[in-house]
Amino acid sequence: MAVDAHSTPSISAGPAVASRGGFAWSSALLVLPATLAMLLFFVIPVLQTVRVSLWTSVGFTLERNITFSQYSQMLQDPIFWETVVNTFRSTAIVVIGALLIAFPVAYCITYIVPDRWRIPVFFLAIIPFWTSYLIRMVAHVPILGRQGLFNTVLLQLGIIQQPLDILLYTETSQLLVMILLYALFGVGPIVFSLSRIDPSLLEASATLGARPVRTFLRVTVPMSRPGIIMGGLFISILAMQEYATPLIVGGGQWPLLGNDIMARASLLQWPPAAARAVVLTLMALVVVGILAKLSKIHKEV
Amino acid sequence: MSGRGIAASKPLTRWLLVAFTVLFILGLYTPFMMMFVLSFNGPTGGPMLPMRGVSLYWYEQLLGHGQAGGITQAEEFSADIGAQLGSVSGPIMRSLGLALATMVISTVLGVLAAMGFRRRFRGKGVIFVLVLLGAVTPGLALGLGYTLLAQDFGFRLGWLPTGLTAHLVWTLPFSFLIMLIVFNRFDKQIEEASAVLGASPWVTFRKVTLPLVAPGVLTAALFSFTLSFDEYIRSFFSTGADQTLPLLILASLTGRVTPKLYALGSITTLISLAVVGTYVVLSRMNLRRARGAGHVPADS
Repeated sequence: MAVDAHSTPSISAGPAVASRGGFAWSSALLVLPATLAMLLFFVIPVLQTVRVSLWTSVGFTLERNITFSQYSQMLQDPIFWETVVNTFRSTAIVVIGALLIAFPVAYCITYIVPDRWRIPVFFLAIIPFWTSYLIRMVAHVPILGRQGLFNTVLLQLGIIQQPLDILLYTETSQLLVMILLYALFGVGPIVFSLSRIDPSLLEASATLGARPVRTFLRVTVPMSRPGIIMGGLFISILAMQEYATPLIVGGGQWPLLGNDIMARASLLQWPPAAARAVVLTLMALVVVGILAKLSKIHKEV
Repeated sequence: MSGRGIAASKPLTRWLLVAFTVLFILGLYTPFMMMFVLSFNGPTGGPMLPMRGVSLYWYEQLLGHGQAGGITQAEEFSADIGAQLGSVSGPIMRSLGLALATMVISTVLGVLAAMGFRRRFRGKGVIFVLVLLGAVTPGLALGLGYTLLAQDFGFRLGWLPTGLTAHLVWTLPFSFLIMLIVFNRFDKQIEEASAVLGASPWVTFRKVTLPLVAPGVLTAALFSFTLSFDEYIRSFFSTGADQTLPLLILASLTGRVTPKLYALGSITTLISLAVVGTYVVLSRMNLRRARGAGHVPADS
């Protein structure tokens, strides 16, 4: 089977269409299913949410007139703003805390763990990612409670006289558990980035007279930025939508925007729920935009 | 790795880091251990310490009983809720089925789309953003849309097809991204060599491309499966009355928690571990095959 002498030199492994600088039919065909799926099953539902956010409800019936009253009511509600601020605050604390834990662990796995053990240890640190988040969250309750594992052990060892109440059903515990749950999400991307750093760069830095700390701060950390940003992105998107952890670990006392939306949805207050969902989406997009700018991620495409 | 001598050269630093990592891993697995241990609590035991005996009571409660298979004591008093929740096997089957279906479709679409992205074409950036939006948009916004659409246009929500589509648009961005990264590092020359040697594009794809990107495909499949299996917010709004496993767990959290929940959690975790185990086994099999076929150096 002869190769068309006039076709462009590189041949892609798709349907055999020689691209002569015109519209790449083969590419279009390949991305079509995914694009259609996203349009039908993602864009349309999200648009519906936006649409309903522009309606109002009287009692339990929806009034389908387009109005911004939902938004104006919401924006004038101090509780709404408090919730938004809390959500941003919570997300920021969780991301920073989680990355602060993830980075040393990732660093250790990449540079200190012997080659033979690196992949098993990495997997060990990553596997809980594949388990149910809800289960992991709930499983913290018997550890942090007044009669939980942590308090029982500390009491037995005589380190404390009274059980620590701060570990559960407080805002601190809510943040702490989220940090613990999300920390491992950062390990993967950071290990990925760290392992791509050319060791000769580190050697060069040392050869030029930099002490290890300086090499670390000026070479290693900046070069692991993509991984940090990726992990941070993933964590912040999930932490921002949090609903279950504030409900269970916080006892519902420090609700985030996710709790607000779910509460209204369960009361069938659709327009307010939809409006808040739109706000949550915008918040997520803002964070993504900022982090994407910081990372120039489009280079991977 | 020769950078090792430079990174963390002081023994104290190394020890601190190792200790930190060990602590981290302990912290990761202690909740599982606790839950596992407490699931074997005696019949009079509660969801916290201390343990009152050791028994399979809670597992029996969880698995034995058909209609009244609610998780919390509150539900056992309310026959309606118990019947509505059904036994545990329904949610488990639905979650598994949903995850498998999502995995297959999401992986296939992701591979195809990533392949399409190997060349430039108009609208490439837009489609990239569109797909990525699926991962970034909060599940609440998407899920609400499903419920509201169903209300507005009167169609039925169920784990199929609406649950499946909701899960699909969540997992597809991930499988797409993974395959993008894989193809980004892919050397086209080997495909060109195959074509020059006379293979048709389809044969090239099957015998050259696919085996080389197989690890990525496996990873994309793993991601798609587990993201779907553990998903609850999108499921909440898109599966209607069909309860999935995470939804069962979520529902039981709002009642009084008993060790039955831990029994369920232990089973769920074992399923997840089995999935990861399958992935590892398949990856190694693939590696062995690749070594045998000469794709990969035998000593890697």
